[in-house]
Amino acid sequence: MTKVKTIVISSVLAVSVAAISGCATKQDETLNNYMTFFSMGTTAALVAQKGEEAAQMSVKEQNDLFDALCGDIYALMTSVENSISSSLRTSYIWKFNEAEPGSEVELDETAYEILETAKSVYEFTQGYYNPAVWYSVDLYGFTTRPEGYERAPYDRDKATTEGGASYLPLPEDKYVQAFKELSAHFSEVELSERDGKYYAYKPEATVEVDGAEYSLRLDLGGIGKGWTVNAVADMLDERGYTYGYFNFGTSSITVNSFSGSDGKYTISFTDPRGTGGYCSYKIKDENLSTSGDYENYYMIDGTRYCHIIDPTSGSPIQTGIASATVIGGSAAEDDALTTALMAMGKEKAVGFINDNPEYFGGKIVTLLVIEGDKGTIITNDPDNITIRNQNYTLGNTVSDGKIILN
Amino acid sequence: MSLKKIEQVRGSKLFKIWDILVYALLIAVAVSLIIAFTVTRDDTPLGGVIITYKGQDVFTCNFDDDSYNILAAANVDLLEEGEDKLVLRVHGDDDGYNVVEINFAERSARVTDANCSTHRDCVYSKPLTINGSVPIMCTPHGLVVRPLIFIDSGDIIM
Repeated sequence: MTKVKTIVISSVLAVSVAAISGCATKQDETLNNYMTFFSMGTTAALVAQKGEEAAQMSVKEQNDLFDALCGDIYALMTSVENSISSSLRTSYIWKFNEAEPGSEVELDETAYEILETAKSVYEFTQGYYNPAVWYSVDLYGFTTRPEGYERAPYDRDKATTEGGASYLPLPEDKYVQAFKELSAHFSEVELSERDGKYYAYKPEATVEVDGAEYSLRLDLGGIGKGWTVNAVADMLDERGYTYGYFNFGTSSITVNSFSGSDGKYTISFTDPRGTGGYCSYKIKDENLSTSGDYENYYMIDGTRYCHIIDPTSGSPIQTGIASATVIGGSAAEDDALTTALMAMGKEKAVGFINDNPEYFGGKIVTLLVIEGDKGTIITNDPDNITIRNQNYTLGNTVSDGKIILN
Repeated sequence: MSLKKIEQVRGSKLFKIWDILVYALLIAVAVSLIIAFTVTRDDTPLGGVIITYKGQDVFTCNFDDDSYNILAAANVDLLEEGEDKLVLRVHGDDDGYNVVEINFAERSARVTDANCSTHRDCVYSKPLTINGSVPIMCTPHGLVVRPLIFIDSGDIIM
């Protein structure tokens, strides 16, 4: 009998020791599940853990697979940058931008697919998303120019306010109007595929200001990051990474399951006029994108000039929408749509969402409208939102799936 | 086996009440150890910090042995080295910079200054205080300040 007791006690102690030593081994061989990358002028972060199959694998095996995944993601990001960067002189989009008006430019498959998505959202939003506003963005000082780029005729030197803050003086209206007119010719960009090769036709239209001629230039940076997020989401699925997320910059993210509690991540969206997040949702297994007027901007006489251009004015948006988020579907399309919604303004954006239930049904759309000191949140999913800035109020109800403004 | 021995075996119980209590206690300890070390969120004090700049590791520190290591001297200037505190300026070739304060006594790390954008989200991000803290990211400058061992907290700020 003593022998039986000894065996039982020894077994229990052995389990305890195994539990503790198992943890020690884990710490000695740390499981790598986090990696950061730098591409397209911004940071990306990956958190990835495998599901049940991880239980059958050693830490080293998991780390080797994670390293391989990171290598492939980095290669993908580099490849996308080499295809669509508007500041890299060897990219296909750079070649398009530099090409003679009226000519056909060969693209690679990635640039072709991203440009195809951009054209589709341009048409869907009736031009409120327009990737051909490169000159307007540059006019207001928000592009990244390549090294050695010549000073443009419209460049201004930075000035300083009495408070010591530096800012870029506003541009002359003749440039604003000319570049607005130029961007409207994006509808004339034509895509074609022949013998396994991809081509884009650059419109003949040009504009002239003070003797200098300007032809269409594209910036696919935002939609390109969303496209990369979609591609990484597929990669994570194919390789069995059921837990974690991948975000590219502050605009696009793909979210799988969270390994704790209810399996959902709590995603907060940056408060454009405060600190931390202004609202949050609990989600899993979704792609999403967000845009805002808070990251890249300057103030002149109390007016905010941000990097998001309203194609109908050729100037930074002044619609009052400080942040827009679309959750669900393709991160590339979501990225372009958030830009378009911000340019539309409150009423038009709500009408657009309500008029397209086949597209927005099943997705969550959230806008933050700032008017003076007042912040109003508009969402098609008021039941699941958590408002974190108590100075902001919900500005709508939802009836039959449609947003009804208060 | 004699009849007497058989009777003794029949008469004895495998587990007496106190034995059962002791076994239950031991099993509870074993189970709680497994849960504590493998399942629950890591709220343990920050063990160390790693800073990456444009995808490269440029600085690490370990609070357990009070050590730090500047991995890229071209990107990291040591502005202040006190008994409990390090203040670093992380920068590239351009004018962009972030100032990171590492406090060994508090086991914390925070971004205290930057010229990345007017909004400066990184400066207003929550300091790292536990191994489960959300990394501080400065996307315009490509800076990430995170716990040495990353624990996914389930919180993401976009």
